[in-house]
Amino acid sequence: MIGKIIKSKFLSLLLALSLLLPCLATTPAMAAGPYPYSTGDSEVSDALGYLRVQQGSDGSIGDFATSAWAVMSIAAAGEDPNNWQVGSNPSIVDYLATNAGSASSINDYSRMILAIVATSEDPSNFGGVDFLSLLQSAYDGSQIGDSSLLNDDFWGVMALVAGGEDSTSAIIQDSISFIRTNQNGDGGWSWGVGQDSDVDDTAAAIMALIASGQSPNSTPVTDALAYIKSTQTDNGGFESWGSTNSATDSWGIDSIAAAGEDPTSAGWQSGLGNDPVDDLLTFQNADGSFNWTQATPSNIALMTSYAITALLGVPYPVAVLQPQQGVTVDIRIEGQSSTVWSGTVTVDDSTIIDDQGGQHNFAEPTALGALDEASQLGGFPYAVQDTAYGLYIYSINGEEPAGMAGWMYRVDYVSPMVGAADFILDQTTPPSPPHQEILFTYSEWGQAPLKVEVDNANPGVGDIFTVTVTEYDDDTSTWSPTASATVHADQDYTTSQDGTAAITINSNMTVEVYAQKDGYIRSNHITVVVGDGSAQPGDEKDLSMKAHIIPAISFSISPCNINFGDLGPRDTSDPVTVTLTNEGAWNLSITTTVTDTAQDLYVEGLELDNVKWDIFSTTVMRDDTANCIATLTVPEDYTLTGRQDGTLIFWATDAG
Amino acid sequence: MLHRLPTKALIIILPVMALLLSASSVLAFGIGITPGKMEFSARPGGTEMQTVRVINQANQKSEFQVYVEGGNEGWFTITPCEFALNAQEIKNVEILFAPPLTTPPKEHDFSICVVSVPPDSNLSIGAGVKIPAHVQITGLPAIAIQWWIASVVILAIVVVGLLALWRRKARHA
Repeated sequence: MIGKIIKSKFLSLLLALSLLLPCLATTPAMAAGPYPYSTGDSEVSDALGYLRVQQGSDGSIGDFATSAWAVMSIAAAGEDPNNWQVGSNPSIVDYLATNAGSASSINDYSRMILAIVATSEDPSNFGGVDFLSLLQSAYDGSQIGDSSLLNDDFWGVMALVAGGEDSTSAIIQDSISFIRTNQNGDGGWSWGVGQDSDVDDTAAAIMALIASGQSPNSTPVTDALAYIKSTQTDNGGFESWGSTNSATDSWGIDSIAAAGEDPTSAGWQSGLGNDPVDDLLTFQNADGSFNWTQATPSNIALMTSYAITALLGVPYPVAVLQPQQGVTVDIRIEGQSSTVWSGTVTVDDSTIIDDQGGQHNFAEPTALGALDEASQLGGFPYAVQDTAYGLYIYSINGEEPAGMAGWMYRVDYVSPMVGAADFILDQTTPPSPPHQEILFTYSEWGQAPLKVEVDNANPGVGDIFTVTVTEYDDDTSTWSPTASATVHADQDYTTSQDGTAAITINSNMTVEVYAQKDGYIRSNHITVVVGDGSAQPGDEKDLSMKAHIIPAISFSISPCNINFGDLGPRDTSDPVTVTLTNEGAWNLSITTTVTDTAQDLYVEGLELDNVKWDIFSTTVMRDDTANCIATLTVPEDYTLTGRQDGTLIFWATDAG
Repeated sequence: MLHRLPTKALIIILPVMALLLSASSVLAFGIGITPGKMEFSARPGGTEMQTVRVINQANQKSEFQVYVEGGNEGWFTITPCEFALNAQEIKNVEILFAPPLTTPPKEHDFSICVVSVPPDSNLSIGAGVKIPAHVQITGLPAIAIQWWIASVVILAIVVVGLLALWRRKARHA
């Protein structure tokens, strides 16, 4: 009996499951997870998809300002804005750099800094503009920009923090003090001093305070959040000028996220249980974009950019420039027969392992630490021995000492008085800091380093350029011309008594110029681009590939309108030639349609190549043009007078 | 504020300025499109997205429209369907094909039309491209497949139940 009951229940369970299965299978996966959203959620991915569609061939998304905001949202989504481009056209970062000069106001500078840092570029040199200096120069000793405005301080502080400004600096501290002084009694801020609070500026102020290091639990921030909460409407959004909108919701959400709170939590729900994210999502369109308000879909790309950062829970600034640690120097390693490596390294503390496995820790940036960094970057080995005189560089790239020759080093061409492990970059003297270049050389004691300079690194084809070779004298710390040195370029040249060699190259070419001489240390390399530099010595056998892809269907028409002149009933116009040019890859079949607002004047009376337009057709082959003769006959019973407008469309499709 | 929208005056003035600017005559008017043919395939209730690249071959800014001809235009969503491009500017237009759940499996032919007409007076001459789009609605709708699986499961359960009953009866016999 029990077995029967169990069997019966088992069968019932199976039946119930079988009935549930299709329901489970047909229930769409719920995209929305807990806040914040991720880029895998359709709310964000669709919004990003909308921005992608909006990108123009110049890299822009919307106007200049919108493009900067879009860059911030792209970066907030974890994507590299440098990769946002249409085909091989400029990226959105290229667009901002190209148009950097059009930024002219304090808020422009702040917005640009926030966007530039989000792209991991340098805000002190972007598109030839030093935005950090421009913003810093707007500091009047107590605040940033116009003393009657507050919004330039909010965004200025955020931008400076993003740009790496120390939050204890006077410009940040004074601006924060100015901001706090102008907090209204209701806890909010306005765009200007003495004006009524609004959510947008209060949100910006909160983000500025927190970015500068203020605690989210500090009174100014908690009062400001309370103000924002006080503006919440039943739909969960924040009221601005009588209703909610996506921009205000977005910034409000950003400020809540900046304070470390969840905007969907109970504390941020309205009396009806709606939160600001609920309201923000009501502005999202089917294509992923966001309207400003339900009734006003203005500047959709900008609204969408704001919404993306809000949904992701990434407040402004979306990125902060990390202060560079350590010292950056150029390194060149000249081996016995060739240059082992050259490049730039940044060195801070380092750990060096000697040839016996001993570990040596250096808290300061040393010349040996720089070699260690170069070894990792360049992929070449080196070995040090722990001797009674300290660490000794025994080999680099497998080249070991022999006879009187071995590894030595110079800093800015000067032989230091201490070993590489004891030379602290930007501190040790001689030479005087800051230090620019470390030169490791396989050489004998007393051999002088050579240096080459050119008077023109980009000569035209057939132009003469002069290479000057000099050598460093350790005793006098001076450079003097080196005669009879071999200069390597497209071929070998020899310097004259004044250390120069005149070179002429009669073809477009890029050459590495350097000098050698027995008993001296090989010189630095200089790249000389002759003409367009399209070839390099020895690469004549290489095959370069290039292709310009044209659209499948592409054509142009000239002229783009026809004025048939003064005509009356029964008149036929003079013929007008319309030229069709096939600029695409395929042969084209052309037909036409005509519409008019002229009581069928064109629909009834237009002929192309002596046939009515609706039976006209022609074929235009690739790279070919076709002329088509248009005439207009005015019907005998035509009653309208004056200018009559119509449209003739030439339709192209694949002719096969 | 940084994101305050243009005033009403600007909203009115800008389109008027745009019209005035675009009203001047151009020497040549043109359009470039790729691909020149399209093929879509989706189950009823499914979707397929493809992109059309539109190039303004005119020597100044032009307005473009993209739409579908061939009946059942509602199966397609075009984003954006209206836009302006500067000279030689390129726009990627997304064509989303989404046949409704109730659509029977069948092949259809449509035309994706991309057209640009200058706002000139008298007889304006525009350029348009019709991209043949062959669509194939394949197999059963996604929901039908799910119900089919459910039916098979139910049938299997009934068979197992009957088999258990038959065994029980056989044992008693």
